[in-house]
Amino acid sequence: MIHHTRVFDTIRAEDFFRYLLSIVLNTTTRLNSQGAQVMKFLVTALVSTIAFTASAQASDGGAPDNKVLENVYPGVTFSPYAQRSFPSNVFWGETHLHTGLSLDAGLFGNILGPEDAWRFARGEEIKSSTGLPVKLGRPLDWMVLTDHTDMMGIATDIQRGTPNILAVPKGKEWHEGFKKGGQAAGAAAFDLITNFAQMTLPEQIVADYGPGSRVSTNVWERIVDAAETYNEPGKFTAFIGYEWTSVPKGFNLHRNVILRDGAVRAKQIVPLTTQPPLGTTDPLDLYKWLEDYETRTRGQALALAHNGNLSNGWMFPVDATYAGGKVDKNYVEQRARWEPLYEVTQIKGDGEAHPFLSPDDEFADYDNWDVGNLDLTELKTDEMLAGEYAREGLKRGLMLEAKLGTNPYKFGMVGATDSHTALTTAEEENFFGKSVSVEPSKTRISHPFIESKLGKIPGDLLVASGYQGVWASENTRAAIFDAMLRKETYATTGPRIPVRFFGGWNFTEQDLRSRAPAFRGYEKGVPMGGDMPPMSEGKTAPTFMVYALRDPVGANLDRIQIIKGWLDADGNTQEKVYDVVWSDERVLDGNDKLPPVGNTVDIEAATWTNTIGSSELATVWTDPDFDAQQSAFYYARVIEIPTPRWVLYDKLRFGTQLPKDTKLIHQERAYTSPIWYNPA
Amino acid sequence: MISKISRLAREPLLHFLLIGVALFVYFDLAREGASEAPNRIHISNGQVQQLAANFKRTWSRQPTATELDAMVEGHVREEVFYREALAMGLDQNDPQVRRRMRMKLEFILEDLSSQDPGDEQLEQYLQQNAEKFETEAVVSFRQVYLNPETRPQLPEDARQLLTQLNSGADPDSLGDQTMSVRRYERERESVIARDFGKPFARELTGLPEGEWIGPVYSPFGAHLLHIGARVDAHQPQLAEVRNEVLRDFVAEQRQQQKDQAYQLMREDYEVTVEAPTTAAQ
Repeated sequence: MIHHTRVFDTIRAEDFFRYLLSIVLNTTTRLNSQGAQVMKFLVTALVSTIAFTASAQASDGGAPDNKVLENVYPGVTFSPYAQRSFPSNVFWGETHLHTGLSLDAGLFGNILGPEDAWRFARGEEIKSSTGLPVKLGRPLDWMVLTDHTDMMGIATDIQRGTPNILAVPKGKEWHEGFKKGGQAAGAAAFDLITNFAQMTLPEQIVADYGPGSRVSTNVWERIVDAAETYNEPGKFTAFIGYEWTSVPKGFNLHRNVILRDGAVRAKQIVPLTTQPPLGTTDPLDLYKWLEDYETRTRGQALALAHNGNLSNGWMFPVDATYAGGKVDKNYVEQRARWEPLYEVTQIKGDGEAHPFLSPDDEFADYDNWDVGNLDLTELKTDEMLAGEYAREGLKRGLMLEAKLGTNPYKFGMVGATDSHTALTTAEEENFFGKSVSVEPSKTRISHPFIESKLGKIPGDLLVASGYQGVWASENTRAAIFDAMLRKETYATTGPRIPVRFFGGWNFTEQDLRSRAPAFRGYEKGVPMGGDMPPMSEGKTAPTFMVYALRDPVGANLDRIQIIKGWLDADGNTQEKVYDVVWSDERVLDGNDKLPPVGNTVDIEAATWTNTIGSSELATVWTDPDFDAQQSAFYYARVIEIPTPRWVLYDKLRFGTQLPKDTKLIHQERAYTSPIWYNPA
Repeated sequence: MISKISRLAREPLLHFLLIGVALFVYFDLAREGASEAPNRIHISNGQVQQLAANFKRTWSRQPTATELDAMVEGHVREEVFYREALAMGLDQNDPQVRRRMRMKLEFILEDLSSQDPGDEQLEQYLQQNAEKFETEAVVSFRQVYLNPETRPQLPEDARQLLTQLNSGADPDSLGDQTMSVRRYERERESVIARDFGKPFARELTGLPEGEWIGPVYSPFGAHLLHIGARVDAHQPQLAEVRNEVLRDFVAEQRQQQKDQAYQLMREDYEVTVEAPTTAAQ
């Protein structure tokens, strides 16, 4: 054992020294002045960084700007769109992206940081980790970066003046120097670097920031600063967030956390982790953390879960939670309060519906991953599925509401990538994969993405999905976050399809034909994510106004469906899918079934034509099976005409051999958040 | 002879050797010293406070004595595993460790190199990247939509409608039903491109103001347009875009300085690459 210690000490000293040597060599053995300049530069740079960070923080006070005030005082104007307080724009973004800061992403070879991810999302061309130039077809309007966070470091601790730094006289001296700024900060920085280079750092500081964390940067601060830098109200919204990666037994129960706030609030906390003793895998603890955050900072935050399809039945529990708790009043209230959204589609499988649960739904089998849990250490059984898919979750929510008084699964729909490449690509012809290991290459499809003794997820099963549309009044953190809270959001598997969905008791065809149907939508009803208003006098069934445009650069639309789920008289959950409007003047067949729209995909060329389908679909639909005594939810699903899957572009560009059973074409889609009906 | 010595004294290789000797001596001494140190882990008061501070930042309260004990024990456990693993050389040839080390050094270099340049430098950067910081064109317009699927005589219909519109007919009472927005007020070109596609937005910028014209085609069909006020794209003053210029300037500087640092470090290595053996088919 003593021998081990010796080796350890030596390694530490050697490592330390080797690093110093590189500095010393750079500064002293070069006879030209380059090295000296580098040194001087490093010192001045360190100082100005600190001064700059401080000034950036000071300006984040959050005074109301004119734009906000304008919306508060609507008036009559010439333009019907000006000074309306309701949302008139759909903003496209995503809530789930990892950079090289996330350990697992780094392991796969991701060397990009938050700055790269932001620049890419805003439409700039960058180089991927594998060296490929990459650019989005169209920039996003907003994004949340959700890295895992863990490293803490001396540089920021000195600035902040943590107890252990202040406990050492030298540390205290530096901290005070940095605090003063200017010359004093410069002297402090120089002194720090000199002590570092001379190996005369106080022993205590060397110990505290030993080989594991020496001079490492605090990742959280880095994430916060990057978001601040790229957040541009009105143009691009960069949210501060992180992923709480709870994955007991390999069952995926991750939550993404999104803050409404800027650096001043975000830097008062550090993200919750999952490793005990500091961290936890119990969502009740996460809710506590969120509550603490709001109490302490007076900020706002929300959480949303993803990949129920890899949770082996644990995502939407009805009796007991995986953390050993009960699905009781407290659990349902907390979950309803903190989780207004659910990520329903992403690269690791689409989680809206499953054919086993919805045998009558011909579109229920869209890119499901139903082999097992996240690491395939336990295979899937049919009984697990009900606890995993969004539609079933919504139904279970109605059931729990009847039992406990609160619906814990009353969530809006989110589409995101969960890409670990720092590249938010959800488009089929520009798909950079789940991780750096499956960035574009001739062979990426042939390697199983996950493989264990029990089973595998083949590489061609990755889904180039998805994005989130948010109806908001402006492109700011506040407006988009608030839209998420009221669930006025929807998911798509990638295409940017504008969709409106309103519920009320009095919608007519006339409203749809009016010059601005959305005005009628808000006046006479509620938008997606809302609760039906009390039933109007003399009405017997709810009406829904739904309309969609195709993605301006995408495929035409096949149909719009409304999916209804309800709790029947016996307390059992039911569902039904209605085709409500479709293209090409098709007529229902003898079984009331809508014939398929057709297919124009040219497999060899990976192209399609918009000669079938519609560029717009719109209708007002009345529920023909309504029972006012039964609680229900309704959401719209918009289906595109068939288009090539990403694998066909790989085949075209690389000559990739596709496995025989590879799915080549698909019908992409949008899922709106539901509108709920509750018999009062 | 003297000149030879002085030349030798300037020889970097000699410096390197001397430093190398010094290092050997140092490590030898360090090893001697280490052999006397017991196998001990000391958790300083500062570290305990640090653990408590971490807890407080996560949970917004002080840890209880039990929680703090658990954290200290967790820390010790990590330290023990860490040391044992290092002693076994488990950090060697581990791609994750290697990437982490690379990332940490990159962080240090980036953090040290981010600086706040003066306005002069930013002004220069703005000039050099004029196109990137151009203020987008802003335009107001109204549209009357014509659906090609239901209008076989679309060009003729368009002509007639244009005459009516330019004689003062109410645009809201003409044309076909559409869900696309009928009126845009001072909207950025990129937003119009998002809604109607890039070609449409580009065409819009070239159209005359103040009269009904068209049809202009988009992915949705044909549009008769009336362009209202327009502000063309223009070069902004630094004050208008200072934040964006600063952000991009610093990002570029960071990258350059990181590359330079890499070059400096790399010069200290002699890199040899064996020619690849030709694969036997």
